[in-house]
Amino acid sequence: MTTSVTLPVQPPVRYAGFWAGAWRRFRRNFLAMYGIIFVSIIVIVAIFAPILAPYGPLEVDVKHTLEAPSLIHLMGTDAVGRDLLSRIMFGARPMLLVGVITQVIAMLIGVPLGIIAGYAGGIFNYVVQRLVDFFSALPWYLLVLFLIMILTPSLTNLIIALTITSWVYPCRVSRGLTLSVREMDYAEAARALGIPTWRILINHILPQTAPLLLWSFAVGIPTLVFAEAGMSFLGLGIRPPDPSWGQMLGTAGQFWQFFPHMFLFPSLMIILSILAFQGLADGLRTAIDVNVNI
Amino acid sequence: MENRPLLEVNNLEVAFFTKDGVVRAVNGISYAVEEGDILGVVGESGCGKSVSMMSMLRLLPEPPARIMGGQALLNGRDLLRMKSAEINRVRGAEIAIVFQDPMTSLNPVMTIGDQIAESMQVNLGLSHHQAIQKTIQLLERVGIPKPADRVKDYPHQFSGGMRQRVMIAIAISCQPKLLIADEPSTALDVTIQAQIVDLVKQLQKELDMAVIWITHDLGVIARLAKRVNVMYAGYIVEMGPIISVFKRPAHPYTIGLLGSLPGKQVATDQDLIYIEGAPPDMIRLPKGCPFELRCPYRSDVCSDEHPPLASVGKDHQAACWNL
Repeated sequence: MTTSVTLPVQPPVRYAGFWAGAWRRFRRNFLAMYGIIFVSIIVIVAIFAPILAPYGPLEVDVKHTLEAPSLIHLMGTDAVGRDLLSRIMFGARPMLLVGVITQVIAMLIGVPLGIIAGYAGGIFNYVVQRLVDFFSALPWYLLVLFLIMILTPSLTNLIIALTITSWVYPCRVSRGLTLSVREMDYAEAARALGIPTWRILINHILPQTAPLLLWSFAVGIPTLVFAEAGMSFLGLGIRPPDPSWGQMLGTAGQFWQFFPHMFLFPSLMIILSILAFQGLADGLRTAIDVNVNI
Repeated sequence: MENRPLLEVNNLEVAFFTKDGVVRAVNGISYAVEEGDILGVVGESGCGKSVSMMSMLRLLPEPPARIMGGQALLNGRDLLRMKSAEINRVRGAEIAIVFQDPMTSLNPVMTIGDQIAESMQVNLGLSHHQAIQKTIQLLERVGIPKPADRVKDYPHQFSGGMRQRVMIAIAISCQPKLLIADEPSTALDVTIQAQIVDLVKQLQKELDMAVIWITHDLGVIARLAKRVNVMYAGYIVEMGPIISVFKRPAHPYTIGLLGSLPGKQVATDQDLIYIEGAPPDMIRLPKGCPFELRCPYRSDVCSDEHPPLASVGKDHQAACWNL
């Protein structure tokens, strides 16, 4: 009795590539998807604020001051009759500028320092490490406050002060990775082929650190968004009358018992965008970490 | 021609300064490699085979390693006294290394083509496009099918044997005069090993380069090399032409090594023969012969004084008091 069993032909499993796998993992993460959608909306609103906003951010409507949300002013108005929706739209600009530009500059400083320190070791490594220790030991919020006091409050100075404190993290991450990659056999093999050090750093070390650096880029942004809001709240960031969420909160403080809408919308925006950036960063981490396969 | 060998190593001494003490990894070894020669270096793990090669190219991290003395003359130029820019020009261009483990010696995030091309771009000053063209020829030469398609592949898309062929392609890309093969066949299975050995032998003939082949495997040495250095505890204990050393081994360690090759014991179900004991602690090397404690022929003089290399045949030397 012989029955021939034909097995179903399995299609060969194709490796779709690193980024396809990362996107698949990212898509399944609810918070990450919320993050990327919310962040995209904010970026679009910030870029096209002059077109999208119903009023100018500084436009005063003297007949409608301290008004609750209505059809004319969807989020209400403040004490001098400025449209809160428009101010929130324009307020996304300093938030993104501080979050992204600071992080870009911080990476441009921190990553080369970390990679060179990790690869070269010796006295350079020692000096960079002590600097990292110094900035990690001090509470960064106090340091930023102090720096802005010296530099006078403005958007540029806020970015400068935050950069000075936030290069530390990318530096530590890239140094740690470099320490392990430089001991790899292929780094040794590259040295044995007479590949110059700068080429080893750029071609062999940097690509290995790239996924983690992408994550550390994203994970630094919520802190910076929070820092911008906080500093502006204290009057040390964006100066009135220019709009910023933190600064709007600061002005709303005096009216909050009577006009909670002035308080509600900016704080909601701050919370939602910090959550979005955090979700995006966490989603990126799980998506690009090849050791986590979900 | 005979007046100056391609590589001449004199009294090379390398030590590692560790917390526990000074590890004397290489203790004054001298040998020469003629142009187009194939030299086998055998010895057990930790006997200084790799360290002596790496120290020549100054690839050991200093500290903890330190070259204590000696010379390594490549065409009369001392590698050990070169500036770091000079030695960097020798690496890859004049002396190339094939490493032991092909699975980890290739960068996983760089294409094969870019990795082979990189060496030529650096050492020969080729443009990326020219280098890739040459890379395709090289891949063909080391026996990788469809080379034009495979230059864009990543290391994980190659098998172990294929990767070792890629490593060899990288090593020969700049036509070095000396190829150091650091146990290149150890991580591969036996059939692939034979292919790699034959490939290197063939390339050695075609390119007329000298090869130093480091291995544990006496069979590979017998198949490939013209001369052999037997190392033990950082010393060369026996060196000479391959036939002479294998037919008339003079040092007890070489005799033990050759005797421990599995032969008819396998068929007759007898125990394998092995050398008893373990190599000495490299931090506290004995004053006399390092093999003394494991040697069946030891006498008093062995523990008092280190034996010098003495001639035991034509071109054949061994370091033993009982010759």
